[in-house]
Amino acid sequence: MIQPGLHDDVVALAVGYGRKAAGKVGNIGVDAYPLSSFAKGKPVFAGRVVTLKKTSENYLLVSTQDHHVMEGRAIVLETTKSAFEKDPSSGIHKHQIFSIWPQHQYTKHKWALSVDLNSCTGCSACVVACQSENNVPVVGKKYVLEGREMHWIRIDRYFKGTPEAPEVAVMPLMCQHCENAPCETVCPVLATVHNDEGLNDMSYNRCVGTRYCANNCPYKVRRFNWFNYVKKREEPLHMSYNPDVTVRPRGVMEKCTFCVQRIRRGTNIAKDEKRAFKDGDVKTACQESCPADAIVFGDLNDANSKVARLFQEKRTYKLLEELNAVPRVGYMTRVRNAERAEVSGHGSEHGQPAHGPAKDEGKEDKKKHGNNVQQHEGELV
Amino acid sequence: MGQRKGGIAGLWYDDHECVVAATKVREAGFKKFDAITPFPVHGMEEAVGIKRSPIPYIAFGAGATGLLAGVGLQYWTSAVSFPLNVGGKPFFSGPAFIPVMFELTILFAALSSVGALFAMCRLPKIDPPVIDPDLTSHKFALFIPEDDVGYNADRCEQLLKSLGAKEIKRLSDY
Repeated sequence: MIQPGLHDDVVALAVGYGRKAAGKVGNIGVDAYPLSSFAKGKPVFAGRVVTLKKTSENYLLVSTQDHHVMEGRAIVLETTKSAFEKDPSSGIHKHQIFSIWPQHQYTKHKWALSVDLNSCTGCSACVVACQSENNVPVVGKKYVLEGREMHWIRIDRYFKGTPEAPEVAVMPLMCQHCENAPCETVCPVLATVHNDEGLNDMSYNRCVGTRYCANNCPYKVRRFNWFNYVKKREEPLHMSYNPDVTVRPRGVMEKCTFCVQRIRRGTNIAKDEKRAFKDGDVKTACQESCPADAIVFGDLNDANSKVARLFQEKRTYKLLEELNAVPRVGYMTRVRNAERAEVSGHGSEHGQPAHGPAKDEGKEDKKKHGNNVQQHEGELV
Repeated sequence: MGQRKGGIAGLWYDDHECVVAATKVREAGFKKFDAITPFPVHGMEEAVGIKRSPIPYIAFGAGATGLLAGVGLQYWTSAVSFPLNVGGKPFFSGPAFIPVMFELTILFAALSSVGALFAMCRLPKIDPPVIDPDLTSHKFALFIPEDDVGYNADRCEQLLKSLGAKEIKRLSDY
């Protein structure tokens, strides 16, 4: 796929596909290692001169994300270093919100998650960790093409800036456990409701699969299980399931639970040891796997917990705050060194596309190269 | 069907005559007598002395009870017995309760009205008995039951005849 920011004369290939000895799971795609060379004990990946030829064959390219422009919405908020030094909350557009109802009080625990977009590199370790922790099915290329991916956490990637000098912004997105969850209101069978710790719970047994909740979720983090992936799994592979997490059958909605099994384990251990729950007793799978420590989980009712302190930071904002869903996931503005007139994409005016159209650049590239690049690279997907 | 009351019936062939006769019978002091006509006759209710039905008041009271029952049921189930936090909305969420409140109001009012009608008319007891099959087509009757105030079969027959009854039927043993 042609991406903004890639030089016109460069082809990028991902290594790690087409493995011969990894069994059924690993033998996907094309091995790119033959194109690399070896010098001074280290593999050299760059610098190879290649020629692309038109094959006139079709190859399906699939992706979990089709659109890479924020369309002027306040999604990934950014600021510059100098602006941040002047005002730590720069780049965040505060909205006037009112509600006809008072918020519920959560006296026991109040679980929350903080994601620092400044630390996040978009490495996707959290996605893999979540996948293995929560028994999330791997659907394969065919069903990703149909939009039936099952990730409970995903990394959204956005391009911004001009086509000549695009910038990438990434954002890990999981269930926001909104206090005013729009998904819960529309469930006709009350299969998804809040518990007294503020978790947006799913009762898999109660779900009848209307998928209203996924339609009403502003963050699009709910996943519908179209197939019996559990039953399809071959004999020794079923041992790879996490026994702490239920497997979901066909026709049931599922989503991030804030690793509720880890929360239960952490609180129960604290109870068994006859001590109060302390910060750090529970770490979610994505938090544990994050090499940049961008994800922090904890109890907001504990004022000294790390997440409570991060929520007090001026850099923290709530995604799509104007919907008044009151998410329990706080994102922290990304601070860039570069000086630019406007980086946040959500200044004073709403709905103004502040950024260059990244899509257009892709089209231009295609015209220059013909179909060769797309087809050649596509083999690796 | 219980013990049927006997009595005496006078038949008219004209509705207006029957209404006039009914007024006279009421003025003669009878209280429990009834008029049987094939169709609603204007002025007959006033002539026989039928007062306004209490059913609307019963229906209103039952409807109000139903409304309160709807509120109470939902308050108890949603906010006391099994509170569920759905989308951050309050446990006692008025707008969501309106349909059930409405439905219970209607249900209580409707069932009470029908029940009250049956009780007041002493249904399914049929009283008086079939006096004449033509009463469903072109004849009009006044029936004085035997347990009415100052009932006397002969005196009643005299009265009905003097009021222009075309036929007299005594209904004693059936």
